[in-house]
Parts: sequence; C-alpha cells; structure tokens
Amino acid sequence: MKLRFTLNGQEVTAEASPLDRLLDVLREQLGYVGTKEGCGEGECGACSVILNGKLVNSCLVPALQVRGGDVLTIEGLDGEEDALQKAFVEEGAVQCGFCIPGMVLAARALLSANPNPTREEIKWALAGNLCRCTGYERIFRAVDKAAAEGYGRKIAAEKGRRDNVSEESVKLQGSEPSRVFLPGDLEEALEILARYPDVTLLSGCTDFYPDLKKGKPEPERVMDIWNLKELKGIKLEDGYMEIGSGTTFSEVASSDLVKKHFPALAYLSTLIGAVAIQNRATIGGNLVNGSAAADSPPLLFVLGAIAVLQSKRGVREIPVTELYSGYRKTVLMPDELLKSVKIPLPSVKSRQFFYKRGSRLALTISRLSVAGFIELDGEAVGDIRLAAGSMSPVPIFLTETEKYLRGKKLTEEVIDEARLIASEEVSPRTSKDYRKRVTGRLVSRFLKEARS
Amino acid sequence: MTDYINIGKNKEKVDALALAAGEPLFADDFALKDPLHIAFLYSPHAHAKIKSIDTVEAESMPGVALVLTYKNTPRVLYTSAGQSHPEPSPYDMYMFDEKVRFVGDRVALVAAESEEIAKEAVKKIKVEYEMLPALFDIEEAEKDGAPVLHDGEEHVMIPSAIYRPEKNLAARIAFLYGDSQKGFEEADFVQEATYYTHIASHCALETHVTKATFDHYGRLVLITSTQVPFHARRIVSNILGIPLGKIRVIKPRIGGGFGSKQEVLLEPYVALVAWRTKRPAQIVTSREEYFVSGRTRHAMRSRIKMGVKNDGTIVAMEIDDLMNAGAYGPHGPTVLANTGAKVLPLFNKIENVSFYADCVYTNLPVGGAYRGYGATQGFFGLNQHIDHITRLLGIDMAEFVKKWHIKTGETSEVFKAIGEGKTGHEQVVTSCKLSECIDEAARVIGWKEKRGAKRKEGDKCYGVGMAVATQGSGIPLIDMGGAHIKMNEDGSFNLYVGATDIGTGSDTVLAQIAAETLKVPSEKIIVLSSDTDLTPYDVGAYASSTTYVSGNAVKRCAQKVAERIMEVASEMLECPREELTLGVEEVSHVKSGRSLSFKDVAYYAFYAKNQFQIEESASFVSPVSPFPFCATFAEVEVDIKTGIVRPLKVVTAMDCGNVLNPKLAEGQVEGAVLNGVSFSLCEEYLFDEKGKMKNPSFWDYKVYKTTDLPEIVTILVPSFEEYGPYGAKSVGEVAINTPGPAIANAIYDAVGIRMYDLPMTPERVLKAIKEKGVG
Ligand SMILES: Cc1cc2nc3c(=O)[nH]c(=O)nc-3n(C[C@@H](O)[C@@H](O)[C@H](O)COP(=O)(O)OP(=O)(O)OC[C@H]3O[C@@H](n4cnc5c(N)ncnc54)[C@H](O)[C@@H]3O)c2cc1C
Ligand code: FES
Ligand code: FES
Repeated sequence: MKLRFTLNGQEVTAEASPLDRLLDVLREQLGYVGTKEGCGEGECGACSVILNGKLVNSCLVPALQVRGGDVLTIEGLDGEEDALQKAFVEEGAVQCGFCIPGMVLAARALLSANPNPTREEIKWALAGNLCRCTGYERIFRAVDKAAAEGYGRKIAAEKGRRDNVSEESVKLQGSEPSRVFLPGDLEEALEILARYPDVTLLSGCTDFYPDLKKGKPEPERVMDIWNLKELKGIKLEDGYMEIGSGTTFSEVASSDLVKKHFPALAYLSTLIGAVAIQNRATIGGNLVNGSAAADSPPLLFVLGAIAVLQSKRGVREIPVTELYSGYRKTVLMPDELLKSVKIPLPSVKSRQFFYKRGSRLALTISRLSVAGFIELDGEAVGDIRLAAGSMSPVPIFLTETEKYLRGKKLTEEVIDEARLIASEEVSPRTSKDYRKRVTGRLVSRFLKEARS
Repeated sequence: MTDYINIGKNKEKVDALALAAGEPLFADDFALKDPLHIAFLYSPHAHAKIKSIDTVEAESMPGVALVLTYKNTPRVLYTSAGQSHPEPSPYDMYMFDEKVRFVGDRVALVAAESEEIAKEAVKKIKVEYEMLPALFDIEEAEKDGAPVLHDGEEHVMIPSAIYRPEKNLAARIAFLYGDSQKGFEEADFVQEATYYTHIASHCALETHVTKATFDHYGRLVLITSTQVPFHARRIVSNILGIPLGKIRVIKPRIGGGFGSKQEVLLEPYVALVAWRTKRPAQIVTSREEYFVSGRTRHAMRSRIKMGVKNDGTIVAMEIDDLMNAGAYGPHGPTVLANTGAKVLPLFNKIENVSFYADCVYTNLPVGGAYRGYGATQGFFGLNQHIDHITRLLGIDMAEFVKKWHIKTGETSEVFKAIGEGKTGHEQVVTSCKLSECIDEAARVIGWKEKRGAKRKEGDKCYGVGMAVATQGSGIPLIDMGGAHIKMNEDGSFNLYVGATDIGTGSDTVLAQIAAETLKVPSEKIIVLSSDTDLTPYDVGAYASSTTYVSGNAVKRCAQKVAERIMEVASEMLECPREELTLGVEEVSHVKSGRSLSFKDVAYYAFYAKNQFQIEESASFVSPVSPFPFCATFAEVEVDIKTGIVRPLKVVTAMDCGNVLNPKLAEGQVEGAVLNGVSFSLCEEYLFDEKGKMKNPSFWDYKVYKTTDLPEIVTILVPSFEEYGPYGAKSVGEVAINTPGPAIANAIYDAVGIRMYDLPMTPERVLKAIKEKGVG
C-alpha cells in the first residue's frame, strides 16, 4: 500500500506491506535510521518516536496506522540547536549512543507535557527506555538541564510546522483491498466483521506484534480499529462507568472520572508497561487478548464489570467473569467485537485495590497480581471480592478467603488468618512458595488499609 | 600538574552530538546495495549428532542464493575468542560441525534475497538428529561416564593451562605457595563456604550486526559491530583462507559491547557468503539470537576456605573454583585464570595459598568475555567471605580490608604464578588508594552509624555492606596498541588509532592525551579509529586496555610529533633545538622572545624548504598491568515478607589513577555499577530440562530500568600511576565486581542471611529467610 503522512514536518509517501512496522518503513523505506531496533518487542525504547504528539514504540505500530498522521523522529530535532540534545551531550549522557535517540524523544514527550518534572517523574517517563551503558544518572541530569532552560515551554509554543497531508492518506494495491480493511466507523467495521469473520483486529498492537514474534501465524486479513471513535472514551451512565474498548491505558490513567470512582483502575493503568506502551495499549485489547499476565482482568473481575459485545446482529452484555472459555480464548463470536466495558459505580463506603509484583518495579509483566473490592458493614466485612492473576490461565477468585472474611471484624487475628487462607488458595506452577506467600501478604496489606 | 589544558577536563565526547542526532553511524545504518540476507538454523537440541541434513528444498526456493552446512564450509578449527595470536582459548569449533552442543548451536545458514525468504528457507532444511545424552551440571562434567562434548580432534594452544577435552575439561589452572595445610593447622578457626555466580547476558542494546561488501579492488570489506577489528580480520582470513590483505574490517560506532563483541561471532559466515556469491551480504541478529546464540558470563562455583587467627591474620586460603564454559571454550582459560589472578593479589599477605580451578564444558550457552572477566565471579565469594570472618572476629570489615589489602610498593606471589595467556611475571603495585576509597565511600554511606544498627520498620529491614575489587589495565607483554599522527597546515592533527571505541569514549580520551602532549586544545585533534585499512593495529577494546595501552601509544606518538615540530622550528628560527620550548600551539625561543605558531611551522614544512609531512607512528606494549581499585558500599532494604531487596544507595569510590576526563570516567563507573546491581538482583537465564533458555527476551530476562534505580554515587579518588599516560589507569571494568557482594553483605547486615547464590531474587531471598526463620 501507499501511505502518506507527515514526517518531521514534511509530507512523505511510503510503500508498505500490510503488517510492516513503522520502524521498518522509517529505517528501510525512508532511510531515517536514527530510530533503532533493540528488541522489537516494546521493551527497550530504542525505537521510540512521537506519533501524533504521543511517545510510541515504532516496533509495535503498524505503518498503516500512521496514514495521515504526524510522526516526529530524532532527525526532526535541531541537533546542535536543540537544547535537549545539547544537554545530553554536555552532561556526558551519551556513551555508545544507541539508546539516545529514543531517550531524547521520551524526554521530549515528557517535557512537552510537563515542563518542570521532578526526578521521580523523569524516571517514570523514561522507564520504557533501556540504557546499558550509562547507569542513567547523567541522562537524568541532561533532562533536568533542558527543563531548567525552559525546553518544554519552548517546544509547546513551536507546534504547527506540520504539513497537512494533501491527498488521500492511503492507497491499497493489488490484493490488499480484500486483505486490509480500514473502516471509517463502527458500523462499517461490524459489516466487515460479519463478512470476514477470520479478520484480525488491529488496535494498539502491543500484543499483536509480540504474539507474531512468539510464533503466532501472520493473519490473512486485518482490520484497523485503532481510530474508531465509537470505541473510545469514558462516560457515566445509569450507575455505570462505560469505558470504550479502544481507550488506551494513558487515557484511563489520566481520566478524572476513573480516578474518582475507580482509583485502583487508574493506578493499574499506570503500571501497564511504560509510557509508550500505555499510549498504545487499550483496555479492550488487554481484556480480549486474555494473556495470563494481563493486569486488567483480575480487577475487572472484582469490580463486577460487564463486557459489551457488539456485532451486526446486535449488542449483548456478559459479566467479564464469563468472558473466558479457556487460556487465551473468549466467548466472543467470530463476528463480534468488544465495544466497551461497563463497571457498576461502587458505593462511597467501598474500597478497592490492585497490587502486582515482578522482579523489577516498572515494565514488568506481572508474575503475580491481586485485586480486591470490599464494602464494610459497620465494622464487619460486607461485600468482599478478591481475585488473583498471573498464576493461572484466567484470574481466579479467592473464594475461601472471601467466605472466611464475610461478616467478620477486621482484627489482627482475622487478617492474619485471611492471609494464610489466601496463600493456600492459589496454586502457581512456578516460584510456588514465593507467589503463595506474597499473595497472602498482599491480601493482608489490603485488609489493613481497608480497615483504616 | 595544574596547568594541563586537556587532561582532567570534562571534554565532550567527540561523537556525542552526532549520536544524539541519530546520524547513520552504526553497522545496521549502512545500507548495502542489494545484499543477501542471512538467517541461521539453530539446534533445538542440547547435544546431538547430525545424522543427515537435507537442504534441497531450501536451495530450490526462489530467492535463495546459498545454503551452508558443515558439508560445504571449511573444516578449520578455531576459537571465536577475539584475542591476540596465538589465542589462549581452545580451538574447539568449526563454522558448522556434524555435532551440535547446545540449544542455539548453529546447524546451517541460508543466504537469500530477503530476510523473510531466508527465514522461510531455514524452516525447509530437514535435519535428522541422533540424540546424545546432555550434560548440564558442572559437578558431573569430569566424572566417568559423563557425556563428552568434544570427542573429536580439537587441539589447544594454552601454555599455562591444562586441556583435557575427553574429560570435558576446557582448562585447569592450579598453583600454590606456602603450605596451606600447615596454615590451617595454625589457625584458630577455619571458615569455609561455597558461592555461586550465574550465567548472564551483556545485553548491549545493539545486537550483533555484520555486513560484507567489496571495494573497487574486489577486496572484502566487513562493517561489523566488533570490539576487535584486527583480530576479526586475522581470524576470518585464517578460517576462510582469504589472504589477510584482501580483507578490510571497519568498526563503525558500536551500540555497547561489554565483552560480547570481543568475539568473532558472525564475520566468518557473512564473509564466506559474500566471497562465494560475489555479492554483498548481511545479518542483523535479533535479541533472541543475542541471548541464545551469543556469549554469556561464565557461571562459577567457588569454594573458599580460610584459616584465621584470632588476631585477624589469615594464615591460609584455599580456593576451589569450577567454572562453566558452556559448549565451547572461548575465553574459558583466561577468565578462569582471572578468577584468581585478579582477585587473590588483593590480600597479598596471606602466606599459604592454594588455588585450584577447572573450567568445564556443558551443553549450555557459550561463555565469553564479560566486563569483569572472572574477577566479578571471584570477588563475589571473596568479599562475602571476608565479611563473614570479620563478623566472627567482631571487627569492622572496612578497617580489616584497609589493614590487609595490597599497598603501593608491594607485590603478590600470585603475579608470578598466573597470567592471562602467558605465565605470570613479577609486578609491584605502583599506585593504590584503596584505603582512601574505603574511607570516602564509608563516610558517604554513613557506615559507622548504620553498620549493625539493625534498623527495622514493619516488615522492612535495613542494612549496609561493602566490597572491594581490583582489575588490571591491559594484558602485560601481550596487548599492543599503535597510533599514528600527522599534522595539517592549520595546526590541527589527524590521530589514527586502532583502539576501538565501543561507546566508552576512548576516541575522546585518546584525543585528549594527544592534545595534551602536543599542547593543543583537544578540538584540534581529529580522531579516526578502528579501520584495518587506515589505522595502525590495536588489540581492541578489552581487558581494560584502551586508555592505558593505546593511551601510552598515543602519548609516545605525540611526543615524537612534538619533537619533529621542534626540529622544524629550530631550522626556521635558526637556533638550537634545546633552546626552544613547546607552548600552547606555538614554539618559542625564550632567549630572543621570538615564537612560531604551529601553523607557521606546518606551512614551512609543507611548502617552504626541505619539505616533508610532519607525522609519526608509535606502538606500546606494557611490561605491567597497573591495578585500578574500587570500594563499593551499599545500603539495602529487605522486605522479610516478600523477599524483595531494594538497593537504596550504592556508593563507589574509585582509584583509576589520574582522571583524564571526569565525566567520562564517572559514566564508566555508573554504568558498571548499575550493570553489577542488575546482574546480582534480577538478571537470570532460565533453562528448561532440555537445556533451552526459557526467557530469551527483555520481557522475561529482567534488566534494571530507571524506576528500579538506587541512588548511585561515584567518587573518584585520584592517584598517579607512573606507568600510565598522564598517570591514568583503567576504569571501565572494575566497578562491576563490587555491587553484588556489597549488596549481599548488606543483606546479611539487615537480616542475618547469607546469599551464597546469585541472582538474589525475591524467591531466593525469601527462601533463605524462611530457612533461617527470620521472616
Ligand atoms: C513492553 C510491554 C509491556 C506490557 N506490560 C503490560 C503490563 O504490565 N500489564 C498488562 O496487563 N499488559 C501489559 N502489556 C500488554 C498490553 O499492552 C496489552 O495487553 C494491551 O492492553 C492490548 O491492547 P492492544 O490495543 O495493544 O491490543 P492489540 O495488540 O491491538 O490486540 C490484541 C488482540 O486483541 C484483539 N482485540 C483488540 N481490541 C479488540 C476489541 N475491541 N474487540 C475484540 N478484539 C479485540 C485483537 O484482535 C488482538 O487479537 C505489555 C505489552 C508490552 C509490549
Ligand atoms: S525495539 Fe525495543 S521497544 Fe521497539
Ligand atoms: S548509551 Fe549505550 S545503551 Fe545507552
């Protein structure tokens, strides 16, 4: 296919195959080799670029999704004239330099949204960018320095030098019209889905590309649903919060509505990979893809969420707990997609939580997670739901622990007993002892917090 | 000393801006015209014989140009270790063999018009294997009846190590002095323990990339991500029988090496494809290939036994190391040697020492050079052992180490006993500020107040620990570096060095050395490095040699050029050479008050009289390997309910001689420290029961990120090394040796458990806590 988009302020045309990654098109087609590949799976950030104002990993973005869009790569910065790049040079932050283009862009994305970040904010913003040479200290100093020089405010003011893509942004060629679908709205998407039930949906593609790498066969037909407005957004209706399946975790994390009603979900969203992943990963993809390590399912389980499925035939709603029919299998019909997730608004008395553990703090596919929801009835436990993730193909409820806790006052002894029951309820296959023990501990931590 | 104009200054890295701008500088950034793309077929089995291999279908696929297997490649034994000739590593590999020895061993390759076709064709190669029993456990390797990996005709070239492939023994190094038995008898108590360090990946952010093309003479040009361009040229020539003069190796910018690229891993294959097909060829390996088929840090078991007197004297030490070579032996003997050679001299006053170390083959990924090179493995156990003994004695480890460590003017029996590649030779320590390092780092961490304080908040326990280490600066009498300098009319200079900047900043530091000697600002030095056609020879970037060895070559060369400049000036000013002095970019005659700018001198030499090019070459090989020293103090938080260890602060004080460029030196220390922390807390190869790595991606092989970081503090404690260029010693490796043991000692301080086994993951720590009954 022929794609048109804006690259570093100028309109460009590129040839791409349906599954080509933006990274390949930049490096191989257009010769923009400042963007590097360090892993090809979203874990190192060497391929970071800014797409429509947001930091993304270009190794996980299908080129077709940038049609008509705006891409900024390292070559689009001013080099010697760019205060951020200069700060990297002056602070000695560049060793081998392989990670640096990605680092610079991640720092730029941070500073344009937050011109005066704290050290902690810098660390989180760069958490998706691996550097093996520097130990990071000098990189932080470079960002501090650029911030102090007003870099963030300056680039915010500088917007608007992008070309608007003049012509049609994409032209399909050869057999592509029967293999690549780019619906303009949901209705059209459902129509296509009804006609080609074997079509694979492309949303944020943060699972799609890693799955291909792990050996999943390349799909014959794909449909881009990333841009469908009907799948985006967060709203309140009839005692529910409805989150469009195409809403990214960045959007969930920053939504005031979510923060108010579902602080645990907002928190969870900040833990999905790092910024560039959160900017692309959708809650719908996370739920439907059903990876054992997916974070949202356990929490959505305990919050009593409902999956809204839609096809040309109509809409149906099922509890999220009934979404899975096995490991990475869902009850979705071939012509259905997940339109949204509805979560009943909790009472003000209730508390919710989500914790996860891996061997590093950030960017870790959790090796265990625990989610909980509790409503106290006076001092006694009223409604309680606890679920554990990552230790079984689908999240499991800790029913014994729940049963034990119901109606009890949360004394030290009760909490301690709950801890023991919880740790016996999970049966992880690997790192058994550790995961059991930590599961119990996280449950007890939650109960202590719920009590206070 | 204060009037240096370049030395000790924070000069910006010469290539930093271009790198930050994303310019096309790395191997994969060079686009070849119409290249063939190479894909490998890797062994799915840990140990098997190839009964038959059928490539017909692959070969007949449209777009496939060439398929290579053991049947149509040279049967030349070699080692992939990029070391000086004769490499002190066993020649135990062929490009392809009839046998595979680990999951990830190479079975065949396909060269095709595109990467996709090559990969598809690889799937079409049919191989029938005869399975052989696999060997994974180092303790089983030398036993009778153990599967033998190298039962063929491999030979060896190691003068100082024993090699017995029929026993899976890739190297044995043993020596003793004094009488350790007697020592143990004299001791008041004997402390013995066994420590384990694990296999790890360098994780250079750029994977291995090699591209081959031809110049206008039809010579082969390799653009490759290597730390050893000259060794690569020699080894490729030896294997393929292509005359060395017909090969040019260019090292572009390298995206990190840390030892992984001191290996001639891809060059022979890509070269052969290009040579046979007469077409450019290339391979860009994936992260998975880097993990599975690249090189790793050798895992090691280290048993340490010390006899101690109640007054703190260590009267005897016995070390028994068993190292895992993996399936082949590149760097095996030398890494093994270093587990003693770089480690034992630190406590040189122990009179009775016995060191016995074996490196054995197993059907696991191949070990290689990795920053620290055996010292990391050795210092992990040693520092914990000393910590333990000082606790038993009830004395402060910091004070103990200060008392007993090797000092300026002292020597060690070990120097004589073992060397790296050759037998050892005597050496005296000419600069050592380790005691000062200990004091400085102790002060910053708050050692006196925090040590043994047993601070606890809820489930969180806090502790501090320390570790010390040394390394070397180049391999004495082996590592050689060459430099060439020529002067231009404007008083600038071209500096040509074989030295290989792999991101460490050596181009910059070498420019500073040249500039200082020539008395010009370093901006006047234009560096070109690592191109076998254009620059003099250099061993390459390893063994912490560049600043010291190549630096000395550059200094020598620059001195000769300065001398030429003076001679010309003396002719111009018509006064004796002795009356002239070298000033900043000028030569002056103090008596008469006259002076000449470098530009005047250059113009004269180029155009006026007795015309000649002012230029010189020099080489350097060192009789000694000066020791850098460092002390690391760590503060940790241990959660006794989850086993999670969080390093809070890691302070490293470093004696790397006179500091040539503080920012670059600190950057080296910081990078090494973080790599050491990450290595010891979370990086880990996981294998299934068939020897296959289960986690070959950054998803599952965890590496420290920004949000995991402790506060890292680096303190440079300058000394002056008389052998070093402007007093410098090496800085690149040593600091990776200390974070692991410092953290382990801090964990002991916090919760009283000894972590004998790396990495110290929450699971392991929790298990130890449970066994001890602390949590
Ligand atoms: C580096 C990295 C770190 C990560 N860290 C975490 C983490 O910490 N926690 C975590 O939970 N996850 C993590 N993930 C995975 C997470 O990014 C994905 O699960 C993401 O949420 C999936 O959404 P997507 O839009 O990218 O899905 P895609 O990759 O586009 O799609 C995945 C699958 O879901 C299907 N699909 C998508 N949307 C719909 C829909 N509306 N209806 C029907 N089917 C649909 C697609 O057809 C496809 O099969 C990480 C991923 C990466 C690469
Ligand atoms: S290449 Fe590593 S995140 Fe894209
Ligand atoms: S500078 Fe080398 S990886 Fe960051």
